[in-house]
Amino acid sequence: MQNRLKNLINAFLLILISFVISACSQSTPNEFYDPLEKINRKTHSFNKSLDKLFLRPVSKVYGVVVSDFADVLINNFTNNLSEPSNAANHLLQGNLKSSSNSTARFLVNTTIGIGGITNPATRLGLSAKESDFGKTLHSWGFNEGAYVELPFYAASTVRDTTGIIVDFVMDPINSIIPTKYRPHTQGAKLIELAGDRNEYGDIIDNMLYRNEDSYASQRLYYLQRRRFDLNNNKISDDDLGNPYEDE
Amino acid sequence: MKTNNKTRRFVMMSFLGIAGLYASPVFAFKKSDAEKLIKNLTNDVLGAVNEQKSEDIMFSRFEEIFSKYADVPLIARKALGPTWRGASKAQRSAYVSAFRGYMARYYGKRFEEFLGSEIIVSNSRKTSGGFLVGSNIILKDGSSYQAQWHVIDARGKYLMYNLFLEGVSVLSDVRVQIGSMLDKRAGSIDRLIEHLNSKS
Repeated sequence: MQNRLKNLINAFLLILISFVISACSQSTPNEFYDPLEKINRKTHSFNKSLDKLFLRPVSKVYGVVVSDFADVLINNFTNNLSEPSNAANHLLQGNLKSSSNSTARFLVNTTIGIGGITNPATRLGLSAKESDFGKTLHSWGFNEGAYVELPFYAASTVRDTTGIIVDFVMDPINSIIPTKYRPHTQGAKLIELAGDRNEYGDIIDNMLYRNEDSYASQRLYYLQRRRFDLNNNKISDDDLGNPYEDE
Repeated sequence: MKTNNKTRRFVMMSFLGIAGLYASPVFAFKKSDAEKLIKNLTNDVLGAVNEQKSEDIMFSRFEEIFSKYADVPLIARKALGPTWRGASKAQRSAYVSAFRGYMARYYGKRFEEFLGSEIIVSNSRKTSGGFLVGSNIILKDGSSYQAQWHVIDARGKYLMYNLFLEGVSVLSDVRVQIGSMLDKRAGSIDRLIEHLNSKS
C-alpha cells in the first residue's frame, strides 16, 4: 500500500515538472522546439550504434526464425497487455466509450482469446484504440515541450516522456498480473520490439542509414506523426503552410 | 464625338477587364477535379511499380509522372529555401531539373513497397488556395497508410504541391534532405546541383 502511495506521489511530481517545463516553452506549431539538440544528437549516435550492433541484427534473426503466424501471436499478446492501460487513459481523457471498449477487449481476449494470444475481440466488432499518458496530458492541455531523444528509447518529447514514465509506473496490468510474472511480460515486450524493428525494417533503415541527416529526419517523422495522431488524423491549415508565400 | 467613342471604348474595356478578373477566381477548379488528378496520379504510380521493369526505367517513369502532376518548380524552390533568392536564372533551372531526378529516385525507391497495393481516394476538403485530397493506401499484406495530397491552383492549372504520409509532410522531409546536403557543401548551389545529378 505504501508503495502505491509512493508511486502516486512520484507520478504527480512528474506531472508537475512537465507542466513547469511546457509552461516555459512557447508553442510553435510548425517549428520544432529543440533546445537540447546538442545532447540529443549525442544520444542519437548512441542509439544508432545500439541499433546497428544489436537491434537490427536481432530483428533480422527474428524475421528468419519467427514465422508470420508466431509474429501475430506475439503481437496480440503484448497488445492485450496494454489494454488495461489504454482503458485507464481513455477514462482519464473523459472518453467513457473508448475506455469500456478497451476493457471489453481485454476481458474477451484474455478469456476466449487464450490469454491474449488471439484477438477475437476485433472480429466481434471491438476494434483496437490505443492510448497513452502522453495523450492524456495532451487532452488536459499540456504543451508538447522540448523534443528529446531518449537513450534506448529513441524519439520523444518532454510531455511524451512524462507519459512513458507514468504509464510504466502506474500500469494497471501490474495489479492484475502477479509480480512474479513480470519478467515474462517485459520479456515479451522486448521480443515484440525486435518484431517491430523487423516489420518496419526498410522504413527505419532508410531513415537511419540512407537519409542525409538521420537525426533531423527522425525528429521530423516523430513529431509530425505524433501531432497527426493527437489531432485525430487530421491535417490542419497550419500544417499545409502557404504555397504562395515567398521566403 | 470621336473622343467620346474612345472614352466609351476605354470604359468598356476596363469593365471587361475587371469582369475578366472576377471570372477567373482562385478556385477555377472543383473538388472532383482535384480528386481526379490524384486518382490519375496514383494509377500512374502503381502502374509504373507493377510493371516491374528495371529501376532505371521505373525512375524515369516517376520523373515523367512527377512533372505531369506536380508543381515541380515550386516544390524545388520550397525545398531549397532562402538560397533560391541568391541563385542566378541558369542555376535555378539547373537546380530544378536536378531536383526532379533526385525526387524520382529518392521516393521511387520507397514506392517499390507499393507493389500490388491499392489506393482509395476519399474524404477531401477545400483549403485556402486548393484542396486536400484524402486517400488510403492498402498494401498487399493488408496494412494501410493514410495519405493526404495537397492540390493547389498553380497559375490556373491544378497541380500537386505536397503529400502527407501518416501526417508526415513530404515537403518537410525533402527540405531536411536538401538542407543538409547544402550545409555539407558550404551552401554552394553549384555543388548541390552536381551532387543531385550524381545519382547517389
